[in-house]
Amino acid sequence: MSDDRDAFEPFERREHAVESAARTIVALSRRDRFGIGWRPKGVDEVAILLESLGYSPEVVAELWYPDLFALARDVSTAVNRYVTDEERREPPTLDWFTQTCRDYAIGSLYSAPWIVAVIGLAIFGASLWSSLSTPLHLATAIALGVYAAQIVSGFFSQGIARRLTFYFLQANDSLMAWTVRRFVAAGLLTTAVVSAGVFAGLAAFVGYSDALLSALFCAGTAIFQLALAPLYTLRRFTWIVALAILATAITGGTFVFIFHRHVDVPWEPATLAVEVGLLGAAILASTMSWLARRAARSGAPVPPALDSIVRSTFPYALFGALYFTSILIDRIAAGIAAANGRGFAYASAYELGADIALLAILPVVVVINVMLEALPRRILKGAEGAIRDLEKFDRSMLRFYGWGILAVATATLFAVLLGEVVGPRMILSARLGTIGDAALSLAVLRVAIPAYGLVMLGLLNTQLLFFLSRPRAPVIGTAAGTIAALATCGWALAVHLSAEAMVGGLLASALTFTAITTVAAVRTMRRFSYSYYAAY
Amino acid sequence: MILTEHGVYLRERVLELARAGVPFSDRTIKKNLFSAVARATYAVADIIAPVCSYNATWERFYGVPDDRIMVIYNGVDERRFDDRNFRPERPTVTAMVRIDPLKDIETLVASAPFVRERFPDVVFDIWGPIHDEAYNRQVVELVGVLGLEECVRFRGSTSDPAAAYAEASVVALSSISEGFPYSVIEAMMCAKPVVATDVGGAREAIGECGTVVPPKRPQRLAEALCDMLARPEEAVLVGKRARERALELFTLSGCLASYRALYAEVASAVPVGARA
Repeated sequence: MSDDRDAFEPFERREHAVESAARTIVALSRRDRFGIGWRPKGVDEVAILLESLGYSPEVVAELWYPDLFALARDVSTAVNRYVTDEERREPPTLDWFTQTCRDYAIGSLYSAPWIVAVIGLAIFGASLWSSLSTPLHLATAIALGVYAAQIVSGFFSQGIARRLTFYFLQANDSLMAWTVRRFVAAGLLTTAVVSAGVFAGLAAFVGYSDALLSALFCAGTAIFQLALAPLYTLRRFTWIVALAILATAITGGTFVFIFHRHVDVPWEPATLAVEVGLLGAAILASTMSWLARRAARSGAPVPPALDSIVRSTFPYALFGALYFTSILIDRIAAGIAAANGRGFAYASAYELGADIALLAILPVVVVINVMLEALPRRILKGAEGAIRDLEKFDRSMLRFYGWGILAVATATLFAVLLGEVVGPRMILSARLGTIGDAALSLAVLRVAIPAYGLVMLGLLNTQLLFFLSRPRAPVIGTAAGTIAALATCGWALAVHLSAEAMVGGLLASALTFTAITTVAAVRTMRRFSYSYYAAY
Repeated sequence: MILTEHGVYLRERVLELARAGVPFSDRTIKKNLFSAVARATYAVADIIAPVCSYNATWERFYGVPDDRIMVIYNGVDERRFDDRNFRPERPTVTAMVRIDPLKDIETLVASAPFVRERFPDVVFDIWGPIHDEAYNRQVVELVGVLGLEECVRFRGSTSDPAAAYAEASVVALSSISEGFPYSVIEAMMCAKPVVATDVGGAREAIGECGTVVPPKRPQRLAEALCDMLARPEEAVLVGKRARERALELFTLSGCLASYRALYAEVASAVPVGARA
């Protein structure tokens, strides 16, 4: 027995030496004030520091390593362990105003592509181009392609976000790469199938050119949205902003300098779709290659069963698809109404009102992100309390949720006022065909803003419920919302109401979705501690 | 294209970044930039000529194949750096270094109290220009804190380094990163025993003609210095052997001849049309 122990002693000594080297490097980093967040990154940096600490070839050989780099490989793994421990410290306390501003700034980053696109296209003088300066048949084809893409990308983006977040928080590079590869492959395959379906379904009605345009917009938009999904989850905001600027510059530049702000034939807007799609593909390729490189350093993953991944993410993905369906039904119904019994035609005036409403609602989106940024801090504070404090903690979380509702309501009110002030000017400057069209846009805008405000409240509920691993209510909410929109719009079409009436479908969908998720959120937040512990 | 790398570029930049305390984002960008420059240069160079075998291990790590590496040692002029056969009256430890964090002069200064315990009249002469003003202040402050004002002298730059070496009982180098240190081979050429930290090509240069100690270990450095100072006769013999080694391996003429041969070889491999 004693001999066995002796035999292992050199290994133990070596292990101690590696741990000691790692601790020394971490301690040295602190003592020398190497800077905030400075830590050796990669084997070469660890080797450099080890060498400067006196790990000469003789010392390395004494530890049974063939060279400095082999030792550095083991030490860099150990360094990560110590660095992780050291960095788990309480974040600095900021006063509520500074903290809110900070959260607002970070929250805005989630909406960065939207903001960049709006500002960029405004600079190019190309805002709402598909609504205004495009022949009707092209706008119709584009709209159908984009609708399909949003539903597909909504499904896969939510799936990726759910699973990737899980591995991201564990810093499990191997499984992050594993997950993204599979979800992206499935997403691309589905995009291809849906795009082909769009082409096949439309070709007989609108001709091959317009059907191809629609399919290209479906593929291009879906690929780009799919490409951004992992970046959101990994919180690569700099990249997201940079890529949004790049995409806007490329498409805006093409539209202004090549097409001179007007597209007449299908290949012209198709070029824009191809540009967006190619950029999305490049982003996907570089993200996956980056993840693969990180994964290669972490060793081979032990993959989970694919069907269990699919089962666990399906409700979230289904929510993504249903959510977009529920907020698009009114636009499709407006298109049917605008076609006067001849199928579907892009309802420019309706779309303009709804798009301006979406822009006006942007401050509400950011409010939600502020809430979500603040949530982990609240939980951390509660988690530090004793068991007897749980009731107090639950009350504080319910209060937090109440403040959230109030903030969303206030921001929605602000959006309504903003819509009232800016909306008519934007509609009038859009040079719609008739005064009647302008009136229709304004009527849609006035209903759509509060409706989208309600949707945002529903999204806040959804995010809170997702955080607690409770996807059922959001899925039921969006499904019921979809049915409500279908029923309302179906009735409106059946009694031959005008396109303007279809905004009622949006309102019905928003009310249903928000009511269901609010009930679920209130019930959950009242027993937050229980829900939280049950979730993890 | 021939790349002669005197240190290891990327290694030294990383050490600089580590010390500068730059924010994480800056550091990452700069490190990636330096890395890209180094790797691109390695990729396009026909031959990489490090100044010692030890540095070649780094170049191999960064992906350079063996057949593109050719070690050419630095050389010094044996007529300029001659053996003046001079023995100082006081035990003198000489360092010929620029005042720079990479030279880790703090460790040399920190070793001085240990040496002074055994040799109360010892003097540390530090020759060389100030390369980093902030670091210089730090070192001077350390001298004050340790009460070494009489013992440690900052002599500044010199146009006659051979004379400075001549005044030495032993030459010290306390760097944390080196390529193939000139101060070591100059001291060897001047027939002085050397105590240097075991970094870069220092061990390769010194061979059996001096002592190497781990970096950042003031006590170990002090022990090695005391060992040399305690046996002056033997130190002289070590110095003589060092000069013989330097004359054999590290002469300027030998170094230049190696480079000429390399240039000729590479030039002859380049197609005639490509030379214009």
